Amino acid sequence: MTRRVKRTVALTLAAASTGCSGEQSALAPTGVEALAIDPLFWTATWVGVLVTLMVVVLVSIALYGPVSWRARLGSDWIVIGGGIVLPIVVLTVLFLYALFIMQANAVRSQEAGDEAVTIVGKRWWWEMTYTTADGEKVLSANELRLPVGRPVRLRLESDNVIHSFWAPQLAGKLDMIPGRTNEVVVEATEAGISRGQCAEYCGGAHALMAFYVVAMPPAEYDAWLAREAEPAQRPKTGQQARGHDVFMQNGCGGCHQVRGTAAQGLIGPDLTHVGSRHSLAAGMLTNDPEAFARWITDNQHIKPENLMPPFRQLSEEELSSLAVYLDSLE
Amino acid sequence: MREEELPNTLPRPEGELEGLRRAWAPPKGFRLITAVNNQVIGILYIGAAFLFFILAGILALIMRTQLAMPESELVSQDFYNQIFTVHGTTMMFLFSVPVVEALGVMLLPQMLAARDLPFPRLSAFALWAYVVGGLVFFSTVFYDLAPKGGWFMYPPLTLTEYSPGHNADFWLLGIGFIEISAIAGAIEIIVGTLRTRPPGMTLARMPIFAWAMLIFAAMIMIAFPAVILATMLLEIERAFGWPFFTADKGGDPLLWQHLFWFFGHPEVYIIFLPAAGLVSMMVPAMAQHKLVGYRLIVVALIATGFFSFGLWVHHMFTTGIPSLSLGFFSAASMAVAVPSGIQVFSWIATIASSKQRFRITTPSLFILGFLFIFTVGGVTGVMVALVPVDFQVHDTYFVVAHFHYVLIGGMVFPLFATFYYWIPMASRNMLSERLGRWVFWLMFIGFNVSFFPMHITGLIGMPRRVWTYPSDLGWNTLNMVSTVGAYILAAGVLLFIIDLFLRYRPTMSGGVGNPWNAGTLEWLPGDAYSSRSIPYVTSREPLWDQPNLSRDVEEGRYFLPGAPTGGRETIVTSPVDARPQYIIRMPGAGWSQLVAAIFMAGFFLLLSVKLVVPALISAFIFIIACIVWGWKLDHGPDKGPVDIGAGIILPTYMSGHRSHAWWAMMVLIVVASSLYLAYLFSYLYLWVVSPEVWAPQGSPDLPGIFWPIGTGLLVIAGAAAITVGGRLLPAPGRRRAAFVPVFGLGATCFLAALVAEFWGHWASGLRPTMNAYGAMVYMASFLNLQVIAACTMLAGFSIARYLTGKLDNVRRVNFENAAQFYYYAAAQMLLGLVLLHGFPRVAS
Amino acid sequence: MTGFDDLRHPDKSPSVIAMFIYLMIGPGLWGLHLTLVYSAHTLICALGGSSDLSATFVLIATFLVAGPLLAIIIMQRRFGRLLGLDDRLSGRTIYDAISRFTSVLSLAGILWAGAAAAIVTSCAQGR
Repeated sequence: MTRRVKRTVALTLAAASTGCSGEQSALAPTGVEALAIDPLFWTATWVGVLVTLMVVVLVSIALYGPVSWRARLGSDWIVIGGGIVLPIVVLTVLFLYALFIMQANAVRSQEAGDEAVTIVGKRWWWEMTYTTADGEKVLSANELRLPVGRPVRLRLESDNVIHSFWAPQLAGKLDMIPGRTNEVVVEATEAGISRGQCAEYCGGAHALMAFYVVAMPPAEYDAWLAREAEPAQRPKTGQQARGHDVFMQNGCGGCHQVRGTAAQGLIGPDLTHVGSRHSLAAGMLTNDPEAFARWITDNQHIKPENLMPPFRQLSEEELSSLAVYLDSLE
Repeated sequence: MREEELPNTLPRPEGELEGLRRAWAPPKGFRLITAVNNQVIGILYIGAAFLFFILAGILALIMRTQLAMPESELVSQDFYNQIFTVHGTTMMFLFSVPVVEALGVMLLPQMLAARDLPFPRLSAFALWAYVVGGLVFFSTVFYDLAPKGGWFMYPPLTLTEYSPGHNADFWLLGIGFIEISAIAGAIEIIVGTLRTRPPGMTLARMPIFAWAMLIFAAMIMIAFPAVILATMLLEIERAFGWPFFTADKGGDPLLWQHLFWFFGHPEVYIIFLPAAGLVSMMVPAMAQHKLVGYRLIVVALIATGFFSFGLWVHHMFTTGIPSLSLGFFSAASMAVAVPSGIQVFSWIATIASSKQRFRITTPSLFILGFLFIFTVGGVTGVMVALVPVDFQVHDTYFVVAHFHYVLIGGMVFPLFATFYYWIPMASRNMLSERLGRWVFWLMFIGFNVSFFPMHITGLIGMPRRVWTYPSDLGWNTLNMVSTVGAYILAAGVLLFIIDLFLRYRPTMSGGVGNPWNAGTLEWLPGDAYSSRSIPYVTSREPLWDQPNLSRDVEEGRYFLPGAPTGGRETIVTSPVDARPQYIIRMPGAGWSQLVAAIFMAGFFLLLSVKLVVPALISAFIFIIACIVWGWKLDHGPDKGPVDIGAGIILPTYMSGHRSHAWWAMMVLIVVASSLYLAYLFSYLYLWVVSPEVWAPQGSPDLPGIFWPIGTGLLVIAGAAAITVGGRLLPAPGRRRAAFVPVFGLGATCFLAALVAEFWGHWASGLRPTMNAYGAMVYMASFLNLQVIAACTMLAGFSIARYLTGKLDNVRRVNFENAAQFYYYAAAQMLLGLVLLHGFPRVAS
Repeated sequence: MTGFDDLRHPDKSPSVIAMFIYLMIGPGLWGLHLTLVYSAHTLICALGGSSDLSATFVLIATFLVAGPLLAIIIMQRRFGRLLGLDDRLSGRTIYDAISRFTSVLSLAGILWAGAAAAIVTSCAQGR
């Protein structure tokens, strides 16, 4: 099976399993924390529905009820009973329930192992650093891969403005704040792809700062990480080699790193295995040569104010070669 | 009360009513802008706030149109980021708080049967500063200068590095003086509510709206200083690079969030409480039955006022602070839900107690709509207060839905009820009940259609503050529905404006009478002077319980039926049980407060665009105008005591702790202390975050111990000299040579202390740009400088008054004000010395 | 003119400070409690203290504040007299009710905050 076919199948499967519209929904939890929050959310919702119904019924009685009912409603005791006693009882129950979930979360976090991914919020993309079993740091971007059933500690940081990491199906959000490292332990419960997005307004292209979460069976994940740790593939075809040269000649390496080549820039996303990701430009584009070409020339339209300049001076031939080269970086 | 027992007898002397009319007549024609009558200022204030509501609403419609469809390119990303910032900022700062203050200015004196608020020019000042500043701020949206950091302006995004240009400065300085305007209003409302109630109206008989406004003003006093400090810190960091919020230098972006939300959360209740107070006034009128659970409503107002200060962190649940801290604030969020429950049940009980049936009028419809919407908003409020749920819904459209339910439901709906209910008090016509029903249903349906789906949009993943979204996430239909709802809501508002044009005809002479047969004093017959005489009140609904009250008041049988001093005056009563204490003489129309307002706004706005010289000229004109304004205020006791009726003879001049000026100064001192406490918190907070930059390890050594001791002695000597100066004030008409030197010596000691404190640190080599510690140290001096500058001006003013023979040991309010503020300055500076010189020594 | 006798003696008016304290003692203690437990917990955790120390402090503070508040609720009139408020003051029963209920709500708030410390481990990051 070719790579392209594999990718298509994976995406289709993911879409089928989660429902396309549900891929960023807190109501379709596929992570341990999100699953723990879900019943609390529904409990609170139903309590809320009941309270609202009660108020509607009582107001209706107060307006149109028989005189005797109205007389009974019109007393201080109703205010004390309904306004003080009832809320205190209901709120105590909800509050304690929430506290127990918080505590369970805290315990789960403490018990989790060392497996960790460091995610740094950038304007407006995500830098992800994995660590292999033998301690090697692997730089990647805009896609969080997780082994199903294994808790992974996410270390959330920022070196610019505040962002917030939110993959609703996995867990609640947690902010990325300069000067701090926030940690959340996530654990995917089933294989599949879901989407996440920056939740704290970070200026400019905040709306266009997304990522994908790819939960994989543990063995596949380990294999993927081993591959991810390797340097980039050498160009195989003439066009790819031409693209590689265009990349180097146009200074792309000043901002981007492609491990195994001279490109060592760390300002923009690492491109060593960019071809194997599910999206380009932090969740904005599909991953194919056409999308690469569009991004390189037209990125200020696709993601206004992003920090990469558009490269319109490239000839058609240069552009397509560059796009093919980048797409080949699996 | 039998007729012969009323305080004044008939017939009233000839010319008494004319004298009253003459004293209170507002200026005519274009000079109306110099008017200070609360009924004029109130209407203009409400009108201005409503204009901002419309303007910010139009921005909302642009946003909804942009979001109607996915990947829409109707507006640009940059423009969208500006308009959502301006929408939020305008709604919060230029609409909600001002409109509530405006209602206070308009309604409070009438409900308290006072002739005006105690500081009429201050209300006028607050109004004009707000109108000028607000319009300039809003207009930035037309020339690409609008702030785009979101209405809560989180740094680092709003630091110069990430927000170059003047946009953010417009927010920081533009909002700065609106905060000043709000505080001016709060002073007015606190002193007005506590001191200008009619005789007999004890706290326990006060209308609920007055309670609500009292708590509203008290909350402004505590909450606004926190955001004032925050904006100062951020503007100073932007302009001069003092690193309060920069993590690399020991600052912390979260400090902003703490300060902002310490203001921002109470702000929601600052907006809601007065609206709830209005509802508590209208429900009894519509039910023709007194409010069931009056005392419990007061409980709810007080409890909300307090608890709302204990939940600021619930806007920061996702910042990663410790679980248990989140637990504390979640607990407080639970606690604040209970008082809302009390109020809802109290209204239901009152509706149930209706004499016949609860009257369904346009105001009642808006109240019923409010009850439903507010309940839903309260319920979702409890949901977001549950920490784990908030992890998911925070910063999504669920929260957008929640706070619009709370704010539009909790504030805008009662406001529209208020318009329909109280316009008859100030207009020759009522608004149309027929159109009113259309307005209500359009707004109610439009609101729910627009905002209810947003709960779901948020839950299925849509974050707030996004200018566009992809089409394949299932958000399309819901967004389209929300947009349609927004237009229906807008149609309702438009219809209301049409109704207003057709029917609203402003008048100060009593309007339509008492169309709802309500029981409170604002429905007394009246004119520009409010009611002809000031009633003696023996119940909470005097118009229901005291027969013939309206007639007797109008005939002048109650207190102070004329204008005995020939000017504007009202009765000042004791704060708890409203016994008459003295007659306050109030200023009339004038230009000084108008000029002061325009040039204060000018100062801040010119500073925003870094036009320093024009800004300073503006500030100078502002100060001159303030001096002119203040010069005429202290009349002295020249008119002698007056008889207000029933043989009660009151002085027309008061100094000391009973004087309204003393009270206003105390309120200002509470504001200043609250600002300083916010500073103390900031200092200690940054130390907890970054102890490594603190002296002596991370920064140059502290100045030697003789520095703080010497400075402290200077401060104490200054305060002592000012006390002695007060003793030296001569009897009226006499002179005493020692007053000016002694008082001047006190003022000089304070200036010297200010310089000594600054120089001590400077000489140690510490610089404010070095790190967060340095910035905090010099910030203390900056805050002292502000207070001392104000003190020095008050001192200079007192000396000028003395030299012109207008200050002596009877006519001494100007001196007392200065002295009070100096004592406060002394306390602040001594506390600062202990903190800045003691704490690092102890902590290391 | 007997009806206005009580208006003639502005000096007999009760102290506004006493009234303020009487009506707001509950919320005031609640605020004190929140300040205490929040700052102590933050400080202990930031300085690397043990989570047990923090939890113990919070629980003790809760008892120390809730106890007196409960006493005030029970012996309310006496507390009012202590502040110098006259039992026959006009509207006294209303002030009593306001004071009592604000105190009860505050007590609930204090106990909720205490419950948080009993259930949630101190110093763990907010997840």
